[in-house]
Amino acid sequence: MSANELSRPAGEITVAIAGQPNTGKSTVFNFLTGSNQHVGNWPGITVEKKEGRFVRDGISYRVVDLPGTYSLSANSKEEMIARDFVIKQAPDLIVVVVDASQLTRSLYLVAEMMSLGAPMILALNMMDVAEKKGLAIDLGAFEKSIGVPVVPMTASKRIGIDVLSESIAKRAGVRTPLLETCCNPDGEYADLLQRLQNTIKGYVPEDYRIGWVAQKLLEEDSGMIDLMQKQMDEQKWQSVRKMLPDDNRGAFAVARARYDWIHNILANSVVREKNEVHRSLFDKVATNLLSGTILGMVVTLTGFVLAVIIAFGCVVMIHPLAANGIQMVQNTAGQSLPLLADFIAQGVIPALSMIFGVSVFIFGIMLFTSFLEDIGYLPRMAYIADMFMSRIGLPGKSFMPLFMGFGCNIASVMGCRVIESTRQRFKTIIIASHVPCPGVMVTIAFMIGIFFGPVAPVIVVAATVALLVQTYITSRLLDHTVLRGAETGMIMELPPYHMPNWQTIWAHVWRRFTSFVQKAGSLIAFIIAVIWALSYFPNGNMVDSYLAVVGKAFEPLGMLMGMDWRLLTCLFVAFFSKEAALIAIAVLYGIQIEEGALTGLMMDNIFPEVGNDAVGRFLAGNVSRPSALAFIFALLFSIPCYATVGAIYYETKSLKWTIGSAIYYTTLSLVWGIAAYHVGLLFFTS
Amino acid sequence: MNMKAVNEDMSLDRMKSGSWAVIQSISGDKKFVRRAAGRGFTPEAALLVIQNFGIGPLIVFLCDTQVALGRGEAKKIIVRRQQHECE
Ligand SMILES: Nc1nc2c(ncn2[C@@H]2O[C@H](COP(=O)(O)OP(=O)(O)OP(=O)(O)O)[C@@H](O)[C@H]2O)c(=O)[nH]1
Repeated sequence: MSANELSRPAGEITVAIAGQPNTGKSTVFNFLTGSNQHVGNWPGITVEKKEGRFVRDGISYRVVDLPGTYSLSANSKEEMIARDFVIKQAPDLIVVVVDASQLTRSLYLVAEMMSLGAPMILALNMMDVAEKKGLAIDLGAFEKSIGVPVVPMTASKRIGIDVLSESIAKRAGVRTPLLETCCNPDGEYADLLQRLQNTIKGYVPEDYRIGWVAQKLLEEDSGMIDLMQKQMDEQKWQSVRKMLPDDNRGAFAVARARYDWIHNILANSVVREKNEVHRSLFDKVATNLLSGTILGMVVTLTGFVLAVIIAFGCVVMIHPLAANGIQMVQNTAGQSLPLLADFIAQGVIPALSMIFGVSVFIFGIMLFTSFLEDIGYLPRMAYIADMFMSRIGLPGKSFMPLFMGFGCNIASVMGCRVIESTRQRFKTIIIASHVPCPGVMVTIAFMIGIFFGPVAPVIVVAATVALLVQTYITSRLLDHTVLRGAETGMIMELPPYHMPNWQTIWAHVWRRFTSFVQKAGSLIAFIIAVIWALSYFPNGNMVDSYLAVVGKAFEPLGMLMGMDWRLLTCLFVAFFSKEAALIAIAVLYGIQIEEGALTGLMMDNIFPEVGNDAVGRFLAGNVSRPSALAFIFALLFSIPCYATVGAIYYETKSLKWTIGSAIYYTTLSLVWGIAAYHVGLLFFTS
Repeated sequence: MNMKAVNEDMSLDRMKSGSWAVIQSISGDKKFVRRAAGRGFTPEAALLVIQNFGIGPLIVFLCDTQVALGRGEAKKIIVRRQQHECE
């Protein structure tokens, strides 16, 4: 006891929660910290960082949720974060969450942690599942052979949380004795490890344990190699380098040693009735090539249609309210404060009511995805989808988010959260905007209908093929440039099915959604204000607004695509909203002479009826067919709307990626526009 | 070299559904090898091929975990068929 007191750090106590994915780490973290949480991200890195606090016996504990990782290698950003935190921040205690029903796999991380000698306790979660599987764990023997305290838990039912916090209070600051027996390979590698240790002695940075560093070198861990190379002079480093096997055998020897340690523990403490694979009928259906594909499509479509119906219902409900609001603002402040009144009536309210409908859809999709993930169906669907998605270099898990892009690209971007690998997630986020949202489809369908009546099907096919080809190109381009060296292959765990845990699903989705609204909300609000101002000043009209001035300034660029300033301005407008481009056409070509800024006109036309004959005839007489074709393709690949850009920023937490993708799409748009124009010139005379 | 042993070893993607195997070796870049090792794919590990359609990814059972494995990844894993069960 006194040893505890002595080593107890002054001030706040930091507890890190580590664990492999799907072990119930988030659930443990949530129950431990309650609503006392803060979500940020790791410095300079685009990985989410969750922190919380709890108080016990008057002492405050800071709890940091480390990213879920299978090991502590330098395989991914997540693993580097977890490892750096454990070593450099030296938390007072690490709680490693372990899945009791899959001990062999999930003790692997523990085995690695053992070599660090950090203060640690085990949260042995999923006890209920283990029991159902017929595993009998002798906790006493288990604890004894591991050498650190073990807390059995069923986090989803809140069982064991209290004991856990009690154990945390007891153990914080007590270093785990280094187990000489743990995880060092034997035979030739034991020898090699010893020689490695002797050679690097004196060069290892203070925070690191030499035994662990040697292990990592033997594994040829790239992060550790870089570090030690910097620490040692060239000659000395070369002598280390020469010792390393260089054929993966060192890595296997170390991994094997860890699994041997695990098997030893389990042999002493766990009795399985029978270790056989149990596959339910549902699982067989869900992972069968044919029925799995059908089920995946049906499930995805069902979620999509449900979200659309609910969102549409909400929009219809809110429409009169917004209209009344506009009336009221204009009646009360229209005379005294005309500028403010216009801003609210034509900028704020229309934008808000549009965002509302979209938000309901996004929220619905997030809830649906979270539900599928929670019950364990999502990875099965991803397994099936991988057959198709991998052909364009995307992971199976990208199918569902990309599909939801047909409803709204924001839903895609937000939905990419289910993809664990950061690089794969970024890739899918960037590619998501290739999926044409309803705004794009409506506008393009309208243009095709007017200009290409008899050959419309050809244009539709061409556009679809262009989309697929470009998606493939973008994917490959990312692989060979900014995402070079990214892991592409699939090694995806298929966790057991669960009953849905509504509380966690709801809490998770709600937290993410509100945080998105708060964070991306300010960016979106800023852009709305800018767009409104651009399309309002100086005369309160869009036709001679600054937006039009910008369009005119860029006309030479537009001419490359055969577009005059009006068509080009409409393309700019697409950044605000894809369906707004349609309204802009009507306004700029003077078909609908209406007063006001763009945002206000959107409100009046929330169910646009521009598709009437008069408009069509007028447009057809004023715009050439090659130009129209250019417009269609330029719009297809245009920069995602401002809210999607906001979502990209929120999800990547990176200005570089956000701006980069905006520039990429703008370039694409221009290139396809020019190409389409020239192809159009070949086929259509006017 | 023993011809028979060579014949017995094959890449995981050629194993039929329902057969047990023991991993002999894993090739590929370091990143893949480390990632695989962390998920339990190491030499001497036993696994059961749950599902292999001949195209697309496989599902294997690694003594306590079901894992979906890309076909390209399965090609890099050399196994030996075995009448083996988990310990
Ligand atoms: N049956 C059972 N289910 C649990 C238990 N703990 C968590 N779960 C469920 O397991 C699933 C995964 O839990 P999470 O807390 O999201 O797991 P995680 O480790 O954070 O996983 P990632 O979020 O993917 O990193 C959820 O459906 C939980 O409700 C438990 O003790 N028993």
